[in-house]
Amino acid sequence: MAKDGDLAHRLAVRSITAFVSHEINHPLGTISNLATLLERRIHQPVVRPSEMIGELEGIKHEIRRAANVIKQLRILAGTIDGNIEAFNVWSFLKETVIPFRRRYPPAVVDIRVRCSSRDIVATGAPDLLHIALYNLMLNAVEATHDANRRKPRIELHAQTMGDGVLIDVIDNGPGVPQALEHSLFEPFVSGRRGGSGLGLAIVRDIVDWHGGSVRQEAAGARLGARFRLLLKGRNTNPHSEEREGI
Amino acid sequence: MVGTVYLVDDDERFRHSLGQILSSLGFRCEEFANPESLLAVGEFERPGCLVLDNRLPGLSGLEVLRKVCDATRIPTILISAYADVKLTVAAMQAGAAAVFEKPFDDNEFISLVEHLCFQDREFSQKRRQCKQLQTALANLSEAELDVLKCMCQGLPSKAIAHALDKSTKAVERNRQTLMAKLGSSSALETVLNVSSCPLRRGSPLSCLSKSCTVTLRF
Repeated sequence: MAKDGDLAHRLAVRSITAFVSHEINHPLGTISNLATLLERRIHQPVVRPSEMIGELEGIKHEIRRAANVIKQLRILAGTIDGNIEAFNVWSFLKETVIPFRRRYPPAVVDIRVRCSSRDIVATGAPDLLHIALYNLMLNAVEATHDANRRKPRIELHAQTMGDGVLIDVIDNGPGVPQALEHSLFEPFVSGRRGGSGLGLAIVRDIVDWHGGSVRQEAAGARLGARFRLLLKGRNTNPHSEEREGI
Repeated sequence: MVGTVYLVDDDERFRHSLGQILSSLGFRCEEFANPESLLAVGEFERPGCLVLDNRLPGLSGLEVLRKVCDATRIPTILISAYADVKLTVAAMQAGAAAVFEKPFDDNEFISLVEHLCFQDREFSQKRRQCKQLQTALANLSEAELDVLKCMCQGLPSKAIAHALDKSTKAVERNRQTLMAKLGSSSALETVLNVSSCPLRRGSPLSCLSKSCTVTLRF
């Protein structure tokens, strides 16, 4: 028994190490490059401070990115901190797509966003929910890429359901393997070689903290997986029509 | 021009910043956000060097390395945010020149890129010589080839004629035409040219068979 515990413990530490190394070393690598560029600029005969703003902005952005990793670790450790507010779901979806697009441009991934109304408002901590939705999208792309080598397509659908807001993340991947169906959101469970198995665990922790729910189901014929995120919220303008975008 | 660096990383800011550093040092830099667009490049500018991030959308850096390195022998550096022993060994086996873990010392990285481009320049020159020689050798007739082989053994025309059961005149004629085809002015130059391969040990004459991997690859 103790041996099993030891092994589980070691595997957990290994997974977390891989996750942290990956997520922190990428921004650190960029910060290092930007610092080198600044250093070179400073040693030039004519130094123009205005030309260094781009590099400094980049460094700040990468620091925020690294700090975000710490935030995700704290979510896993059960010490979540977030400010609950009412936010517009349509803007929220668009704001999550922007950083995702930076990593996966339209040539690599198709993204479609659909909202049954632009006036849907949900309650929650948007910065935490950004992480959750980003992780779901990342999961969708990686699963699709790994499996069939075709261009991944992600659909984000938002609609009201009772006194809640339902956000669907649908991909065109192979779907979730049956063996993983029940343990998908457990930490250290991954369908991918080299996956840390932490992305979806973080999603569940965030959604649980909100008192919402997240589950996975097959998206139907010729479609992959569908992750359904249920949050508290409502449509502030019940007469608004269905709209599509992005 | 020091060389062309092909930079593949899906992290835009990292790619741009590294690209800017390399450009400021005189390298020509081509950036790619995904492996597909790199593989779409038909022929790489040489001397050149390939810098691959291991975690890429679609194929992994290691898979790209196997595909590209095998076909072009362009020197390659693999970059990873988490380079464990397993990845490093696999990368070296696949032909990577080095593996760097992010964040890395830019100076160390740059001097390696410079070194690899320098090596690649030498390699490209030798490859060109090899190609020229192989084309010239392929132009020789059977009879000329036989005479050339005997010349390499140091035989004079009379002895060659005897060995090949030919007239001395015919051998002389073969010698003259084969020397013209190989672009050499003396028998000694001819023999020297064909007795050492620019790319590997051994005579280029033995490369005529399909066993020469060097010629087959290019």
